[in-house]
Amino acid sequence: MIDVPRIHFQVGPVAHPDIKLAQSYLRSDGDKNNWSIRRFAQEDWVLNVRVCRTIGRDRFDVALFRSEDHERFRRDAGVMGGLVFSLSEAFDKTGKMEIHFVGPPKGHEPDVPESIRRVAKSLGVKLRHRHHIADDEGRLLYARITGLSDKAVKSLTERGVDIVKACFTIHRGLWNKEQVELIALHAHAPERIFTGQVHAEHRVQYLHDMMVLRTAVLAERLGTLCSSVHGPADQVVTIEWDDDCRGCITLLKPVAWTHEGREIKFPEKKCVQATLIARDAKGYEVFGESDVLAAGSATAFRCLVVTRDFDWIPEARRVQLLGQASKANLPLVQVVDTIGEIDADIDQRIARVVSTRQGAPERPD
Amino acid sequence: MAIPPKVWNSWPPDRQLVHLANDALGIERRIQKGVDVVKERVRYRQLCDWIEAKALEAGQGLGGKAWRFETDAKSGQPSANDYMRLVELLASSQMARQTFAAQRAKTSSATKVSREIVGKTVYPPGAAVTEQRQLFEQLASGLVDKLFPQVAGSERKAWAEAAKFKAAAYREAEAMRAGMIEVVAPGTRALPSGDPKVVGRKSGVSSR
Repeated sequence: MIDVPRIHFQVGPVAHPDIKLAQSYLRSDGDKNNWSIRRFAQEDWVLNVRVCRTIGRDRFDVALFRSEDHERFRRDAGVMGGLVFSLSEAFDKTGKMEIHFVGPPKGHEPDVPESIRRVAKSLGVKLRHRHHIADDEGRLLYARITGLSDKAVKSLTERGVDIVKACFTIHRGLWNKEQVELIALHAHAPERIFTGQVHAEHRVQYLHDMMVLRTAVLAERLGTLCSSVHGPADQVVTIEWDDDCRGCITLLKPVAWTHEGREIKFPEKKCVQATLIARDAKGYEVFGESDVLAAGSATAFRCLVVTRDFDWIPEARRVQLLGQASKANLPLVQVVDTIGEIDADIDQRIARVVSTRQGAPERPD
Repeated sequence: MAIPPKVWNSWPPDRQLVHLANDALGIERRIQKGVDVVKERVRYRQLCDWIEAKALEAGQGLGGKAWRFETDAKSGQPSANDYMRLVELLASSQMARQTFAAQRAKTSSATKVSREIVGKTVYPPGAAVTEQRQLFEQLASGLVDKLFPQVAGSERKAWAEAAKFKAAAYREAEAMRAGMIEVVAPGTRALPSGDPKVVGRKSGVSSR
């Protein structure tokens, strides 16, 4: 039997040379408390190791930046992951996306690493400096790695939304990329959402914003539901928005489950047109019929996604709506959350957007 | 939606709209004063959701009357987008705030009213509805041009049309001595418009 040497290193207390090198920073005396080790790992594989520190609120240093590829992931995934986290951390700590690379005697990166230059070039960003990534370069790189569509970027820019702030909310896990696309393309005022100015007392505007955000969260819940069958590691869910409440959902693997005797099946790698409508029980009672008609108008594979409140509409009306959906050959997918829970989740995310750091205005630059 | 006074004072049975409206105004005041804002906003959202659900019920056979705006309205008809934009600008315009504050001081109604000019959920019968009627009438008859001269003429015309539509609704509500509840919902094509038979009449994707 041929012994194939392992070239990748799993997460855990392993003797990876880069991790060992990184750990040596913690043992070194002079900068003992300043340096931190960061690892970017996916599915138990370490793809990037880096050592960084912040000096005051003004400078973000990287002393070590090592990445490696793995056949399970796209090329340069480690570099991109490490770069995104480094830029996010720099933005969080210093308010700008400027990264300085530190060479000997304190660091191992005298210049911007070649891997970063290669990724930047492939994304159309030219790095001008030898020893650091400038703020404007970092911002552009960050937006390009995030991968928002040109339409979304244009829409956000036109509404005065800082594109970096929008990308930062994605990497911070507040909204995912598809949700930001939806907000950018269909929200009445995306700038309010990204600045946390969505206040309940401005009721009409608030509800207008909430409708898009509820759709976004409902789509996320649908993705979770689809991922729960095979596990999030093996299922990939992508959404392209056709309208403010309808998206084309594509799954990497087929899924099927049964809900209250109704079988729900989604094929693999085919567009399922999902109409996502979040309402309370009274809303479904009044508007349910039009929702079924609206969702049924989609071509090919389709479904209507509703909240748990659908359970609480009067039984006769509920049976009637289910009958109509069944007649239209329309799977009705119910997520586990109520509209109240979805709203509470949105409120939390909006509050966290406010706490997301912006460029500190008091700095001289 | 205009809710007739009889329904306003007696329905729903557990806690009537008249009390719910007072609760909403109380929360608005507390938010304005900065009292426990985060919790009050959550309460306000829940309360307004409840009031809107009850308003929809009232529109289904209790005599409530609805006027509807649609975002994809046909050309020539007032659009919800125009109304939304107008609400936004009025909320952010200092001049609009000053104009309406001065006007409010003159009328000095005894009824407690919120600091928000437009775009709320609840307008109790009486002074609040009258104030909204006056406001939209003024906007429809030239105040839009005065407040927002920098905006293109076609847009101002569309906003004035939306204001005219709202003024007519509030005028009718005032004549009925009704309270007004504004409901924003996806798929408004199916919004009941006084005649319960029209519910679900139209099909298509939501029209917000």
